[in-house]
Parts: sequence; structure tokens; C-alpha cells
Amino acid sequence: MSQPAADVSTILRRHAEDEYAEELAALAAADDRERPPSWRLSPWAVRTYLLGGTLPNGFEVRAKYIGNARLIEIAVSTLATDRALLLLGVPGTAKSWVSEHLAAAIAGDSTLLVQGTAGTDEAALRYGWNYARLIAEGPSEKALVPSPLYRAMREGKIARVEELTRMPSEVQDTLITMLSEKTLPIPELGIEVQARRGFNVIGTANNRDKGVNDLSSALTRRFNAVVLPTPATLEEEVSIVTRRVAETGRALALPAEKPPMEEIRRLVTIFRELRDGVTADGKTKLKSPSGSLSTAEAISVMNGGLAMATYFGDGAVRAGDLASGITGAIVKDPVQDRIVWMEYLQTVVKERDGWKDLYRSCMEIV
Amino acid sequence: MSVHVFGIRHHGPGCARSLLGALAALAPDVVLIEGPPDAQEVLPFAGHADIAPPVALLVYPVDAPKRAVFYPFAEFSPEWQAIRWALSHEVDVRFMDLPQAHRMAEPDLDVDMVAASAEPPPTTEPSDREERAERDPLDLFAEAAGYTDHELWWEHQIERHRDATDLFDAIREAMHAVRGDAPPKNALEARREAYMRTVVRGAEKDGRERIAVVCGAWHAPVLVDHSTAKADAALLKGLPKVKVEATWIPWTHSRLSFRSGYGAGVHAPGWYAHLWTAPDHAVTRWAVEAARLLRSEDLDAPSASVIEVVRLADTLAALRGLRSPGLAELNESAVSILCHGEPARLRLVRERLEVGEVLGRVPADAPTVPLQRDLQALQKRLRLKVSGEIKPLELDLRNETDRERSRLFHRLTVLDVAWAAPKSATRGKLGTFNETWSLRWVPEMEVALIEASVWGNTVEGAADSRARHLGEQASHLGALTPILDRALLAELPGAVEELLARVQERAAVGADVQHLMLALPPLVRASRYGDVRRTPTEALLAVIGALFERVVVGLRHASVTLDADAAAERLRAMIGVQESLGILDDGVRRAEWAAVLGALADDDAVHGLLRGWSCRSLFEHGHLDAGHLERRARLALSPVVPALDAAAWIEGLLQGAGLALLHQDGVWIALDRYVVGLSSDAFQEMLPLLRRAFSGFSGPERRMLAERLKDLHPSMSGRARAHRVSDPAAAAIDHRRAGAVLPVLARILGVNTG
Repeated sequence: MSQPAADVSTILRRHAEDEYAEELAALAAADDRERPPSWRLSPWAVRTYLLGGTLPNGFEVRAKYIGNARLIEIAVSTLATDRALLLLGVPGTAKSWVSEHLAAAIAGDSTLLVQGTAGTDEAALRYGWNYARLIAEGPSEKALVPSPLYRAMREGKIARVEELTRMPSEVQDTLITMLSEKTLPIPELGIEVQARRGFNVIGTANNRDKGVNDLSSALTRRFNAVVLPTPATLEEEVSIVTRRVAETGRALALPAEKPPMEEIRRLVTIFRELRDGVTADGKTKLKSPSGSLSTAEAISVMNGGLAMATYFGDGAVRAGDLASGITGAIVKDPVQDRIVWMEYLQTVVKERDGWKDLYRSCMEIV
Repeated sequence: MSVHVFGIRHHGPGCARSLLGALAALAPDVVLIEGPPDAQEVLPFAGHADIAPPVALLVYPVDAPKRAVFYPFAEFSPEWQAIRWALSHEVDVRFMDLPQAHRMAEPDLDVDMVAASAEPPPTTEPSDREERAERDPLDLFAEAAGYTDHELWWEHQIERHRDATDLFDAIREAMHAVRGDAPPKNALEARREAYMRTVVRGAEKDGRERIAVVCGAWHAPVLVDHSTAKADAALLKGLPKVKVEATWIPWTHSRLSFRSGYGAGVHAPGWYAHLWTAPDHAVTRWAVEAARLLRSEDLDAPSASVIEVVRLADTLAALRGLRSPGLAELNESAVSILCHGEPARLRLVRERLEVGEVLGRVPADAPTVPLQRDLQALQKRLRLKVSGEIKPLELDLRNETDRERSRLFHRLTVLDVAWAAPKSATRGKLGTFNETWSLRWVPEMEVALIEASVWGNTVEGAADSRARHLGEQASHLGALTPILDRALLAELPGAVEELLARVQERAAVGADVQHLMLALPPLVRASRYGDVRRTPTEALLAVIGALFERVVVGLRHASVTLDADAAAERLRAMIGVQESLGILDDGVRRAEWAAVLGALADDDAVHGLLRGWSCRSLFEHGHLDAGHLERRARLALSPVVPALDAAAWIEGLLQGAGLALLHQDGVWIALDRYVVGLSSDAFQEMLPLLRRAFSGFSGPERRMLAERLKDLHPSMSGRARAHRVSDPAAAAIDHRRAGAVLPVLARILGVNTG
């Protein structure tokens, strides 16, 4: 919009609708099914965009979400019924990722984003004021600073509210009128913004930490909730990590060395075993560390390893490049988690065939 | 002359509806149904005004009722609707499957296999995918269509297919494609199909014009123009035969679902019932039902959300290319909207929602079930009269007949047929060879009995499998032992063995100490039945020993940081263990128990109630002498101990009647000192607790105690007297000054002082 035209290639992370513009265009071209009002794509095409597939003309759409397709179907259907969508899950289960891609595919715009924090106030959800103008000209629409939600309503787009439960409860409840009446009154000007068709909200929230601001039942009732689980199988998780590492590696301009499958498998195995508290063969019980050891963390550890190998090694990822990343991801609490990690290294990693290198590298760091 | 084959899925409401339409259009003059011809005689009962599905046809060999086979029918079963249609239109209706008389005579056929083959398609989930495909070629279709669950596929493609003119032709063609020219899967199937073809040919020979054949879809392609009469006759030649009988029994929805293990092929009869009764509103009715059930569990489920559930389910169905939402879409919508994404909430009501428990009804004049017959035989042999009046009955178990009677009563109790109720609740404690029962037969028991017939066809067999089943269901040790107790009383050696193993297993795998303790008394009581009931005493004692050892090891650890309620429960359990020890009479165990109690009594982290009771128990059993008891009393009641703690200790100490304590002056002195030392506020607070502590004492005991208190200790009583005297109100009344007040008082009260 009004941002200075930056050289596209220097942007660190591009919006989904830019990164996947080609796919979205191909889908739109091939899409001959009914579209809900203001939707860029039909629900079927949105599903294909998220889950991947091959278009009739042979164009390959990459999968954005790997996992239970039924969940994505529920999410897309929810938005098609003009109900708000609430994505729940532990950290790192691709909640924001899915919400970004849904917004990009449906509205072609994933930037209408409000980040929920303890400091988020009503103005962030409704509108603020340009005080210089307010004082100079008095209250007018020109003096009003619209929030992302305001703009989404006016333009019939999807607004995203991240970490809904981190906002104070009274701020959360601001959403109730917007979601049920689909309108945003502006009492200062005596007017209201009525949402155009196509407006909707995707919220994300962490359902693991307690003690944050739970949604009021009035608000909960206005959302359809979809819980995104941690990947069901080792294979699924390995494929997620592989794909994302390759993609972010490209974005971060890391050399195009393919992420080594064997290392990814080891990494994911460690994360899964510690997360589930039991070894993959189901025979040994393990203690779980305090961190969530999500797939997202596995991806960033792998990326770190790739960078290490590229800049300080010979380009091939080895156990030594990953050791510090793994240790850092697991040991969040310097006392308890360290014990857990040491126990795991001694009882599991040490005994496993072909894991000696990893064991030695990790022991050097711990 | 024409033969029309209607391939159906058992219990498919969509099929049933299409079938009715097809029958009405065809107006056949004979309807042949895949079912046991042995039941031909009782078939007309299906048209009886008093019959209400779900019901089942029960076919059993007369000499071995254990091997009975059930053919369940729900309201929405196509076969049921076909039978009803034929009976109400006075059209000849016949069963045409291979008679069970032949099938049950096959010695090499496993009973289970017969039962399973009565319910195609198989519905249990075999782990091996290949095996599954081999068993159920419908899967090939489902997989080709991208479904992982063939039930789901069938539901989408056929059950939900409301406009179904050519449905049955399509099914037959599809099955033909699947089966190809492959021979039947096994000898049994070959014979069954040969027999069905023979029946069809018979109907043709009878000169019937329009023959309707209703059978499982699998058999549809091979019943007409397939094989020759001669080949079929050869297949069916010289089959052995046994005498079988058939009857109707009430069935339930839950036994139609495969969760109960009967494998009748429907996992959601509740949903199918909605589909059958209101095909156009099934989705809405289901969503409303879900909300109502959730509300009954005190969960929020406003009507606004129900509307959203229906909308989301519809959209999901559209997205998935379905004609209308199925159970999967509805479940997912309900989880997302009514349960805020938590499947656990839906699981609370899922059973009631999807299964929708309904018990069928059969006419009173239908033939009886084997279990009833077995009971009648037993009643006759044991000379027990069935009557609606309440009749007491005293049994002496040393007498063989009485023992058998008792055994029968206990077995019926296991089956929840409450004909005989034990009269004295203390049967476990009083003489082991006397039992008093009160007998009363009410009509509901007839139903209970028929209900129970799913467990077996003899009282013994049924009680045995019911007891085993209950054992499987028991979630913890405390629930398991009462069942074991009942099984022991009912003399079910097989079940007892299994239950004992289960108890041992549960006890070994980290059972709660509390549960372990609660489990002990019934087991110990059971061990006393001994030879009277031919109890496996040895095995029982081994289990008791194992439980007791675990209690001894874990009790102290598990007794710290209990709150008042938990301590009270723990105390009850400990008293139970103490009593059990009295019965067992084992010196070593007593010593071990005493050691644990000693440790408890000394551990300040243990609740006062338990410490007090431990002291008392140790004292009563001579492990603690009077001097030690007194010392402990002083310690427990010393001023630094919080008042509540001390009161709990007293309550524990005085638990139950206390003759033995009556003469322990030292204890009373400590107690007296404690009470006297309380501040008046604290005393007010403690008074109810102290009163409660003495509540176990009988009237005479209390009186004796009060008597003793008077001259407890010379110095004590002196001090008490001094207390009373030092009371300023009682100390010195100045009679002169008091007298001065009297006239004023008299005036106020209006008394004439004269």
C-alpha cells in the first residue's frame, strides 16, 4: 500500500500471497466452482491450496499443511459459513501458518493482523485517533486510524487475531459485536462500519498454557474451534521439517544443499520421543522436558545446523552442527531439563546404533 | 414369472427405504429372505402387535443351547421391513438361508464362525489390511472411491441415496464385478448359496409369478442364473442335521453396534434410527439431540450453536462432495462448535447419541429362551415356587439342596435377576453356613432373564460370562473385589479364576493403597467360605497375601498429607484391614501390621485421626502398654499441638466403643488436662468435635466414663472442684445485698411479696 517500494529480493520473509502468488493465480484460473461472496477462490480451491494437489492443467500445488485433511476442511467450511474460526494448539503446530495461508487464499491478503499481547488495547481491535488531526479538525473520519479489523470489515476481507488469549478479557470481548452483529459502531462520529460480505476473523490461541485470559463463553460461542495436533507420525513430521527447512533455507539464501534426510530423521525422533515421554519402540519411558519441542522448533534447529555447516563447516550437516541447537531447544530450564536431557543421552542416544557421533557432540556441550 | 434380487446391507436404513419402495412397486407374491428357515415357524410373530424392534431371532440346538445364534433386527433393517411388509400385505414370506439345523451339525465349524457369518459383512476391524480386503471385497470399492472406511462409503453411496430406482440393479452389478467368477469363499458359503438358489427354484416351481429375494448384497449376483439345480443338489446332499429351535428375544441398540462385540454391523444405530424415522430432518434432529445430551451433562449447548452445527455440517458435506452430511461431518461440527474443539466433551455423550439405547419387546406368547427353560428346570428340581408374594427362605448350606438353591440365587444376582434378595446384610459376618433370603418374582424379571440370555443359555454359563464381563469392565481394584466376592458366592470357578488373576494383576500394576485396603475385606471374608462353597482357598490366600504385603509397604507413605475427609476414608479402610486380620488369624501378618501402625502413630505428618486410631488399635491388641499409651496421649494433646489436630487424635483414639480404654486413667487425665487447657473460644470450637469423638460410646459406657471422671485423680478432681469454687458467680453470694434486689424483682414480675 503506502510502504516504500522495497526491492522484493531483499525482503526477509514475504507474505504468503506474494510467496505463493503463482500458485494462487493458477488455482484461480483453474477454479470453476462457486465462490462465496468476496472470496478469491472457491472453498475447494482453498482446500487444494492448503493441502496441495495437481490442477487439471498439470500445475503442481505444494502442500502448506501436512496432516489431517479433515481439519483443514472444517476450517475452510467454517469460514464459508461466515462463522469466525479459532485455531487452537500447542506452540508450533502451525496455527499462524494455517491462518496466514487461509487469509491469503480467501482474501488475497494476509496482512490484516492483530497480535494479541497483554498490552493490546481496544484501539488495536477497533480504531485509534490521529490526535494532531483530531485537535486541528475535530472528530472526523479522516482523523480516525482504522485497525486491521476495521479495514477487513470495510473491504470484506479476512482479519487475523494472533494469540487471542493473551489479550485482556475486556479487550477480547470487543470482538463480540463485530462477530455477531458484523458491525463496528463509532459513537464519536455517530456512524458505524458495517462489514462487507467476505469479512471474517481467524483467531489463534495456545490451548496449553493455563492462566492466560480464557475466552468468555459469549465469545467462545462465536468461534468454531479447530484443534491442530502435533504431527501424528514420524514420517509426517520428517516430511514437514524437510520441506520447511528447504523453503526457509531458500528464503534465507542458504546454499541449496539438500537438508540431509538422516539428520532430520534423528532430530525428529529425539523431539518426538522426549515430547511423548516414551521411546519410539514404546519400550522405555522417558521424562519430558518443560519446552514444547514443536515441529517449528525442529525446523529452526535444522536451519541453524544448515547455517553452521555452511559458514563454519564443509556444507554437509553433521551431528556437531546440530548438537548445540538441539541442546538449546531441549534445555529450557537449566536444572530440570538438563537432567532430562542427560538421562536421555545416557540411556537412549548412547545405546543407539550409529548415534555415537551425536552422543559425543552433545556431551561436549552439556 | 420373474425373480427380483434385492441386495441389501444389513441394518441399512437407506436400503430399507428403497426396498419398501421396490416391494410396493413390484407387488411380489412371495418374499424370500436371507435368514434361517428353522425360524419359519416363529416368523409370523414379527407381525404381532406386541413386537417392537430391536429384536433378534434366536436359533439354538436343543441339546446344546450354548451354541445359539442371534439374528438381530432393528426397525430400520431391510429384512425386518421386508418381513413386516409381506405379513401386512398377506404375502407369503420365507427364510431361505442354509438351515441352522445343518450348520450347527457341522462338527468342524467353529461356533463363533457361525455367529459371525450370520452377520455379513464382517465388521470387526482386522489389523491386517490384506486380510480385510480378502474378507470384505466391498472395501475395494470404498478404497477406489477414496474412502478409508467402507461403512462410510456404503453410507454415502447407498444409504444416503434417496432417489434409488435402479439402486438394486446397480448393487447387483457392482457385486458381480467384485466377485467376478471367483468361487465362493469357503464350503459353508458355497452351501449357503446353493441352498438359497434351491429355495428360489422351489418358489419358481410353485408357480409364483413375482418372486422378491432379499439378501446381503454379497450374495445378490449368484442367486439367479448361476450354477445348476443338479450341482446345487450335489452340494447339499447328505448334510448332517441336528434338532434346533427358534424364538424371538428382545435386543438392544447397543448390541447392534460393534462396540459390544456382537458385530451386527452398525456402529451408530442411534444415527440410523434418525435416518429411518425422519430422513429429511435427520441432521437437525441429530444436532438437537447432541445439544440436549450435552446440556444434561451441564455443558453449554445453546440453540444458536445447534443452528451453526447444522450449517457447518452442510458446508463440510458440500466441500467433500457429499449429498448431505453424514455422521463424520456431524461429529466434527459438533466437536468444533458445541465442544470448542475438545473431542473429550463429545465422548461424554457419544454412546447415548450414536447408539441411542433402546430395548425391544417380544410378544408374551412367543416361545421361551433357553435360559428361561434352564431356570424353570432348576426351579422344579430344587422345589422352589415362583410367586409374586414375598417369601422368606432359610437355607442351611450343609445340606446339598439348600446349597444348590443358594448357588442359584447368587448366580441370578450376578445376572441382575433380583428374584431372591439376601435378607440379612451381615451375611458375611455371621455363621458361614446359614443364609436367609426373601423371594419375590415380578414380571420385570422375565425381561431381565431374557436380557441376561445374551450372556449364555444356562444360568451357570450366563452368570459365568457376566461375571467375567463385569471383571473386564471394572476400572479399579475396589470395583473388582465385590465382583469376585459375588462370583465366589455363586460358585463360578472359571470366572473366579479369571477374576483372581485380574485382581492380582491390578494389585501389581500400581494400584492405590486405599483400593488395596478396600479390596482386602471381601477377599478375606470369601476365604472363610472354605469347603462349604468349595472356594479355591489356596489361590485366594495367595492373592490376599500379595495385597496385604503391598498395603504394609505403601500405607505409611500414602498416609501423609491427607485432609480430614481423606483421613476418614482411610480410617474406614484401615478398620476393614484390621477386621480382616482378625479373621485371618496370622501372627506374622499381625506383627507386620502392628509395625506399620506403630510407624503411623509416631509420624507427625500423618493425620491425627489415623495416629489416634493406630494407638488405640495397638493398645487393644497388646502391642502398646498403658504407660506408653499415656505418654502418647500427653504428647498428642500437649499445648503446642494445634487444637484441631489434637481433637482429630482424640476422635481416632475413641473410634468405636471403648470398654478397653475405660480403665486407662492416664489417658483420661491427659484428655482432661487438654480440655481444661483450652481457651474458651477454642473450647467452643472443639466441643462438636469432642462430642462426635464420644458418639461411638454406648449409653452405659458413657455413664461409666462419667462415673470414673468424678474421682479420676485426687489432685485432678481437687483442681476441678477448685475451678468450680473459683467461679465468681458461685463463690460468695452476699445474701444481704441479694435480698435488697428482691422487692424490685417482685414488682417487675408482678409477684406479690406480701
